[in-house]
Amino acid sequence: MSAEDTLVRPAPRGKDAAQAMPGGRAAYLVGALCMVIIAIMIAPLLVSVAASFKTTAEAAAIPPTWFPHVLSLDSYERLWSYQDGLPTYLFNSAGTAVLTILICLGLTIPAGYALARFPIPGKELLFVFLLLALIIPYQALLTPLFFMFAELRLTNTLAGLAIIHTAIQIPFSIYIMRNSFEAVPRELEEAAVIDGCSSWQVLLRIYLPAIRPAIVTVALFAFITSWNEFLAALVIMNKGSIFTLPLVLAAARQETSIGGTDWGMLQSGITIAIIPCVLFYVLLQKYYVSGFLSGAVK
Amino acid sequence: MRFKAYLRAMALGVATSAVMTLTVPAFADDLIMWERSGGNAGMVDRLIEMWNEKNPDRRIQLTYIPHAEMVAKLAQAIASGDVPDLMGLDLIYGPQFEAAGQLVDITDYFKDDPTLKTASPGHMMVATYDDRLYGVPLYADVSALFYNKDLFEKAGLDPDKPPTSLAEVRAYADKITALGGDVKGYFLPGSCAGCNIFTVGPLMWASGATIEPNADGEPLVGDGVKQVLQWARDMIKAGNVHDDARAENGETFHLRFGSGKVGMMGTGNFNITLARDQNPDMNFGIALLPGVEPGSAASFIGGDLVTIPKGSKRVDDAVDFMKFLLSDEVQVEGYAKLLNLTTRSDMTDNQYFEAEPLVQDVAKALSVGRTPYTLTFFEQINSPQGPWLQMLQRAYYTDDDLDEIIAGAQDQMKAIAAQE
Repeated sequence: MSAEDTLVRPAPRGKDAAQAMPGGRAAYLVGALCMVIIAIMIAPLLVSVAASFKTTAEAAAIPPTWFPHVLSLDSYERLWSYQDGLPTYLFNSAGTAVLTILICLGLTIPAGYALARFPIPGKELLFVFLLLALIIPYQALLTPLFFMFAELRLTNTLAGLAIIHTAIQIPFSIYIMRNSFEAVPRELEEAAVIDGCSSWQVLLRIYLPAIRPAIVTVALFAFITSWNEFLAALVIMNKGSIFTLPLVLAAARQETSIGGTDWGMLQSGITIAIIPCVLFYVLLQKYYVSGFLSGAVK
Repeated sequence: MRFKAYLRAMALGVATSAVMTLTVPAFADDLIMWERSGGNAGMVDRLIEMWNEKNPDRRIQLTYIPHAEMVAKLAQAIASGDVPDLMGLDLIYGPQFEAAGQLVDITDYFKDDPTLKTASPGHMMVATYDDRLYGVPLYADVSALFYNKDLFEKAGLDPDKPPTSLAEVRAYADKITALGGDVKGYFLPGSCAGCNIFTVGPLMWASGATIEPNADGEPLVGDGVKQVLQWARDMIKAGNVHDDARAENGETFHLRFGSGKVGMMGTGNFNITLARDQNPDMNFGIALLPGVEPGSAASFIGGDLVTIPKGSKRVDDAVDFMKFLLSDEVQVEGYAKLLNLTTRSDMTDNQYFEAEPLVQDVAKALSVGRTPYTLTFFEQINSPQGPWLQMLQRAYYTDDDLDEIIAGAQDQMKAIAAQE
């Protein structure tokens, strides 16, 4: 899911609407174009989901079939009972993602507040410095991180993985947070201070409700990053019982020593992996859109 | 120290309770074993299960590591000291790890062990470096010629007389392809280096050639190389191979024979159960991969070694597991019962193999099998960009002069060996 999907212009109303629909020919054309684009975007997902319900033999058939001839849960059963069992891996993935969200919010809300509202010397420089992490690929940092984590005994723990995922996500989150804090009218804060609020109370009572969209946006991105992340998980996890879903999908799909993929199992894994992302997105979409706009327009 | 203390305090401060609840500690007495994914998982799972039933006080926790990441992952584990106690490893990479000093020398533990005398020679060769032993067979994969008896009958061939020379393979393939429909006589994977060393390499060995650099450092020695390349080029030109085989990169190689549309093909023992699952009604047989001379045969012995990475704190227990794998009981009730090859050649007479003639047929390949011994197997042979696959692709799909193609591959392989 990308940001583009959500940047749909609100439907024009009243006078504007009348002007925007002369004859409607152009509108139909745009509509048709949108349908085509949606179809192209959604086709791989549908093929993937359809393949996950094929029998083992049909999923591997050459040439492939478009739709399952018989609905079968074979692939799901195999994945369900792979090694430590799918529930374990789902728990690991979800646990890491939730921790990532919590740590990420715990760090970036105060940081955004401070960078937007407190007279810190050189804060623009500090802000740019924090954003610099965006241009360093985290893959380049994994080796030193791994050795540090090994010493801190954070390898093989979900918390350790969540810390890495947070680090990946922090620059973007700080950017969103700071802009959201700045978009809140200063008068609200001043009014609260006059009424006797401390900085903490201003944060909790005034800002947190006002930046809810930004919180949702940060949580959403943190979730998706953590849920999908493969490389860091591969590097710091050494035991099957602590693997996350992407690792299991990589390991479980291979069939023979010269290659070969268990397509049915892979597709069922992909389908299961997509569900939380879609749910999370659909449920929070309303907040997410306004969060995106509040970050963009000051 | 202060920096570290600060880091630790910060990390703990952020996630104290989470660490407590979300870490899943292994029981202190468990051994940790890694095995590459994509190996024979069903077999390995069963072996571990058998061990764990007998050794409840020192169970093995098995983790599959994505195949492509295994080498890097192990190097990283050794560097950090957080190593597994046992490691299953594609046997072909054995020499590389042994030469790098990353495995525990187990020679003395096996000094008087009689079971090693009959252990798979290909495995033992790559498990040995400078006369020291570093591993034992975990399981064996051998290549052989699978042929579809139903198609043989349709084409008027005797289903009990598989081909014994390349010329016969060609003649039979022509007849099967002539059946028409989507049926073709043979299969040659066009974009899979590993599949080719597994199934085309033995054709060259059986024709008297060698592939990886020999003792004098010369790769691709013997007329057999050119003869097999010519044979393969002719097979493809004659239309005996499906067109989409050119794009076969290994992803669907194991499904080709079971599709029932291929008359004969080189593949491995793992394909017996796969083909049965895929196409239960298909009747098929297994013969040895032949060479130019009638009656000549060879096979690639692949599979996995089990080794002990340097830094393991449970070497004695790990060695016990190795001995357990080689014991008579596990050979029969573990390997043979699951219709896998026994890793000892003196254990093939057992009730399970007697009931399954196909396994007996494929087991014959062990006696003519070999395993390439090189420290740069990946770069020379297995790499999708390596000289081995390039040579084959030029031979299969171009009209370039074969001598020139082979000379080019020889140069590249020597250059790679020289970098070592």
